[in-house]
Parts: sequence; structure tokens; C-alpha cells
Amino acid sequence: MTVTPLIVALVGNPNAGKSTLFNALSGLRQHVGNYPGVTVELKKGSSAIAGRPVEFIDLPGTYSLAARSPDEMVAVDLLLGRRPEEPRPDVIVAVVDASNLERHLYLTTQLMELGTPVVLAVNMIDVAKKQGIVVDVEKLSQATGLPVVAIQANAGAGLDALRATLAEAAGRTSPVLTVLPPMIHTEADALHATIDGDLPPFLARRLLLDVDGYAEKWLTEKHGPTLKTTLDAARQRLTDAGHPIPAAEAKARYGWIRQVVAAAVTKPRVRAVTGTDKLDRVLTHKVWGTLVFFALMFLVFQAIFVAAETPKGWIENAFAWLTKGVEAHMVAGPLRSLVTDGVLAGVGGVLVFLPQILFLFAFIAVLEDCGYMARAAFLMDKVMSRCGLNGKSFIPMLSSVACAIPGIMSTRVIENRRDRFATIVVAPLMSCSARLPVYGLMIGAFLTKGRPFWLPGLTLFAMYLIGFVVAPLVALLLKRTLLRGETPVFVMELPQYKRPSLRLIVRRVVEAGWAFVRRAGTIILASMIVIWALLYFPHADADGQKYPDRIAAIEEQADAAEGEAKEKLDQQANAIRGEWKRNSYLGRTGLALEPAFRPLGWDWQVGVAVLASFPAREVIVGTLGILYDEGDVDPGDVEQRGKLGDVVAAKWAEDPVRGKYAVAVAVSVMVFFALCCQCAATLAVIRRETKSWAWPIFTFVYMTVLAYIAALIVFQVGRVIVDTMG
Amino acid sequence: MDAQLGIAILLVALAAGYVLRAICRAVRGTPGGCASGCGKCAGADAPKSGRTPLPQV
Repeated sequence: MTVTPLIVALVGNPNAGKSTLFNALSGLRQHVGNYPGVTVELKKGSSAIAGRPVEFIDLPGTYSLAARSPDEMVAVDLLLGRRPEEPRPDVIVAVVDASNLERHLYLTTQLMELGTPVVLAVNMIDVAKKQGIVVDVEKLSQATGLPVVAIQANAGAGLDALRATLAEAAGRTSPVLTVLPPMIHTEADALHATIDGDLPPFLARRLLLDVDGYAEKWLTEKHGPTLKTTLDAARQRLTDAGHPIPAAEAKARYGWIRQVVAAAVTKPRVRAVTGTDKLDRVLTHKVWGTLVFFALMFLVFQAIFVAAETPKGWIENAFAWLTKGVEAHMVAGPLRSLVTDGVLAGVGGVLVFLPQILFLFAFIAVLEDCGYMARAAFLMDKVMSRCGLNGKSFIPMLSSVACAIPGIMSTRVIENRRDRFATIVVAPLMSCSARLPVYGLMIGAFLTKGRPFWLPGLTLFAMYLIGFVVAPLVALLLKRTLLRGETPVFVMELPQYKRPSLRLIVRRVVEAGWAFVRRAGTIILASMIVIWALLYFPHADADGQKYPDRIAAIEEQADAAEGEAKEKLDQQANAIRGEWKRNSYLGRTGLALEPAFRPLGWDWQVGVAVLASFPAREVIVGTLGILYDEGDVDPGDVEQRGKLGDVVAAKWAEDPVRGKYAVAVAVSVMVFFALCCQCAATLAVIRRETKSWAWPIFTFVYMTVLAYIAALIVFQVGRVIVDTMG
Repeated sequence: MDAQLGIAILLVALAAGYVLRAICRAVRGTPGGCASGCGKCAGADAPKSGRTPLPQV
């Protein structure tokens, strides 16, 4: 016999800890963060309570059921059982923050009007206790008429009691709260009667109470101007009777909440100054906070460079050892070249940046989980508002530092379509972790050795800062042209600071590391093999002589020769390798396109490496590894195959332009990568989120043009500086 | 054609096919992963079990 699962919906304000509770109850591992807006999708997970299957639904955080955007309306529809894909929940868990009950109970009062049993889960009871706030669960239950459970979701405390309460609550009738003035109900009922169809009374009330809300837009569109006239008349009657809309709703609900809180919550007479308050005095200060933000970012990027150096060396040695093994056990030929020069040089060149990726994600996880990210958004609000956006747009941008895709998806919390699209279009400008290997290679090759110790960290920080500076400027331009509109007001809850969870950080780092390795083993590996082939073929010269045979013949002579003669023969072998590369399909393409790259200081090899990296940014690192590879290395002399950064530096030093202006060229390459949209998956997600191909095409074109112009300016200015300094 | 060249050509053909498939999937809206290493982009458009994207207007 099939048992019908119990459907439990978790609802609460942003950052109330719903996702943490959802993970604890369902055993899933959805991403959680100590800042609002982490959940932008409806998430489902299954479990069982006393043998009965339970399906938990985690809804995006909301402050009220007064839907203003389509995704908020979806959540309301789901709670009312009006979504075709989901059954109506049997129980609603109202997740509230014990340290801020007044505000969190506002949503609960609306949930209590839905007619579904509601269980009140009072979360973060530990945080409340630290602030001297005592919540009497029994009194709270009596005052609200709801079953109440005190929980600490992040520690798993109170979850057994919550499960038992959920099982008891299912199927019971829940008290329906009637705190609104009777006249509002009368007017709402009258409105309900005028609308045909199966509109629930709850939505008729929302239609009346939410001025310019989604229900009003949707229903007046559906039923025409007559409904709007009836609605305006009803609101006017309420205003005349002393119940102005929308203030009447807030007044009535908060009146009830004050009574409940007075009965069940004890607070210190004077609000204690918490550690969070003390920290916020500095961290949200417009001068000190900004300074701390910049200092912190610099330290993070410097640490990424310094701490990753040793493990990077281990990976480099491992690949050198593998290469040596293959060369010792395989006969020279195309397959050996593919394995050593294509797979090992290409994929190995990318994989050495794994430690830096891991450190970056560890820092992001710490900053997110401790609550600092929300402060960063608060600090940026002023800058963003001058650019026509607000701090709400900054959260997707911050998320894009890890990856643009979740960043773009998290724009769903932005109600206004124009602001949302402006944020989507500028989010890929933020330096995601895929750019890190490119920055790492260029900074490691040209800005580390013989330079001040702080230069690598500062340069990396500057590269990330480019996104933070350019994105608001592009947004400003868009908001004044294509997406003209008013700057919205930003309201964001600053969460309490807390000690980051080690388990969460480790999980985030492991997930990021595994995704990077998986990517290196799939798309990057495949790309490297294709690049190798484009550089290997044709492998015969105009006379039909095979390049490998010509090189082998000269190397044989060189082995027998000594001194100057040997050196000459080695140079001859290298000249043939150069001719082979230029004559390859990749070489011919690169040489044909070289005039376009030359103003940026790039030669054909840098140019084709950049072009090859359009599907995935890291491909440039592997491609340079293949392009600058010197062919087979004596198996006994592994050191001959140096680090990729050193090889790139040595190759550029041989060239008159890249030798003289090496730093300008390196920065030009980095700036191009900082601003260019070389990620097919990002463009695909932009298409999905905007439901149009126009926006991804626009994003790709404007970012590529911007990247080219910026790289051109950087190189030309750098060249002038170098020439001026002699 | 020697054996090494034959195997190399076969591997190149497979790799090229894989890259083309990845590009097609990205264009069709089912990206197989982005450049981030964050683990969040795999199958970003594909309906995952237990995850229901909220429709947008």
C-alpha cells in the first residue's frame, strides 16, 4: 500500500535559517549562507517521520505574502495549492528568528490566514539567549494558538520535537487569525463576489490590501478596468472609515504581535550592546568599513598567492614525473606527443591552479558564513544607488566572484525587471574563479620574481576590482539608456555575525575542488586534445617531409656532436619546431589574425590562445602550455621542462615587443580576461533568465568590445610608460 | 598509417565531438558546467530532481 507523503512547506523571512533547517530535516546539502537571498529556487527534499514519508519544500525567503514579483506570487500560489506541479502543503512551518520575533511574526500572521495548519519553529534560540532574550515557548503557543517548537537548526537542537509536532499538526484544523478590522473583511468579501472563478478569499484580501501588488496587476489585467474602479472605490471607503490602505494592515498585525510578544518574550530593559553591534560600528562605517573591506580583500588575494605556492609545486612535480614516465615508456610518435604535449602539458597547466581555487572558495565560504557579505552589500549600496541600482544588485555580483551562474540566478530576488536585467548583464563582469588561473599564470610569470612581496596580491586584487568598478559604470549607462528607471530603495537585514561552520567551509571547498577537477578532466581535456591536433597537423612540410622525422634526424646529429656544433644543431631543431607551429592549422589561423592582436601587444600565439579560450577561460593556460612546449624532453632531465610561468616568461623575453613590454602585455591579457565574457554556460543562463537571445548576444558583444578596447589602452599606455622610463 | 597516428586521430575525433556536444548543450540551454569550479552550474537548465525553478515573467 502506498502511503501519501506529508507535504511540509518551510516559510520565513530571508536569513531566518530555512535552508539550514531544510538541510537538517531532509538530509540534503543545499547551499546556505549567512546573508539574505540565498534561496532563489523552490527546493524539495524527502525524509520520514515515524515511518510516514515526508516531503519538505524550502521556499525563498519573504517578508510578507504581499507578492510584488512573479516568483513571490508563485510561492503564495503554492501555499494555496494553486500550482499544478505541487500539491497543497499539509503543514506550514513558519521559521522565525527568536532574536527578532516582532518582525518575523508579521509573515506568520499572514500564514495563519491560509487555513493550513501552521507550526511555529522559533530558530536561533542561542542567539536570542546571548542577547538576554527569553522566549517562553508555552506562553507563545497559548498567545498565538499555534504549536511552537524552539530550535537551533545549525546545531540540530529541537529537531526531534519539531518532527513530532509536524506529525501531530498534520490533518488538524488550524486557528484562522482574524486581526484585520471587520470592514476590511467585508470589502474583501464584496470584491471576491465580483470576481468570477475560483479565486480564494485570501487572494481577494491581498488584492484589496496590496496597492500596486502582483495580485492587483494580474487581476486588473484579467478582469479589465471595471475591477480597478471597484477596487479604488473600496480602498477609498476604507480610508474614509479610518483604515487607510496599506497602513491599516500593518497597524492591525503589529498590534496583535505586540500583545503576543508582551505575553511570551522577556527582554532586557536596555538592549544589550552585542558583539555584532560593536563590529558593525566599524565594519559598516563609510570610511572605516570601506578601508576594512579593501584591506580584507587585499589580504585574501595575497594569501591565495602565498599559501598556494607549495601545493602548486607538488602538482607541477607530479605532472613532470608523469611526463617523464610516459616519455620513458612510449616510443616517440603522434600518440606520445598527444599525451605529453597535449594532455599532460595542457591539463597539467590548468590543474596546478587547483590550490588557488580551493583557497579562494575557502575565503568566500568564511566571508559568507560569518555574515560579512551582507555588510559588504550594505557598504556598496551608496555606490550602487548612484549607478541606478541598489545593494540588492550587489549580492548577485558578490556571488559572481565564485561563479556568474548562481549570481545571475540570484537576481530573481530583484522585483523590478529593468534592475534585474541590468544586474544580469553586468554580473559576468565580476571576476569569477575561472579567471584565476589566467591571472595566476600572468602574475606568477611577470609580477612575482624580483618584485615587492605585496605586488602579486595587489595585482590580483586590482583584477577583481576591475569588475567591481566597471560593472556599476555599465549599469549606470544601461539605466540611463536601454533600461531607464528609478533607483529602487534598498532594505536588507544585516544578520548576526557568527563563527563560520568548519563543516560548511570544508563542504564548499571540496565541492569547488571536485567541480574544477571534473572540468579539467572533461571539457578542458577535450579542448587540449583538439588544440594539440590543430597545432600538430599538418605534420609534413611543403616537400612532403615529416617534421618529426626532420627534427629526429637533427637531434641524432646533435647527440653525437659537441660544443658549438651541438648548439647550432639544437637551434636548427628549434627552428624546424617553429616552422612546424607556424605552418600548422592553428599557426596559420593565428598568423592571419595577428594584425588584430598586434595593437594589444600580443603575437599570434597569445592571440590564438585567447581565441581558443572563448568556450572556457582556463583553456588559455593549457594552450600556452602546448604552444610553448619544446617537444620531447630527455627522460633523464625532467627539470628541463620548467614551470609554465617560467616558460612563458622565457619565450616572451626572446621577442623584441613582448620582451621589452612584458608586464604591459601580461596586464593587457589579464584585463582582456577580466572584461570579456568567455563562458558559454553564462550566456546560456542569461538567455534562460531573460527569455531572450537578445540579452546574451548583447552581453557577449559589449563585453568583448569593452575587453578589446581596455586591453588596447592598457598596452599602449604601458608601452609609453616603458619608453618614457627608458 | 602507423598505429600511434591512428589512435591519435581517433582520440582527436572523440575530443572534437565532445567539445561540439558541450557547445551545443550550452546553446540549447543545458550547460554541462561553467568555468567556475563552484559546482553550481552543472545542468543549470536541466530540471534536477528535488529542485523546481520558479518561473519568471
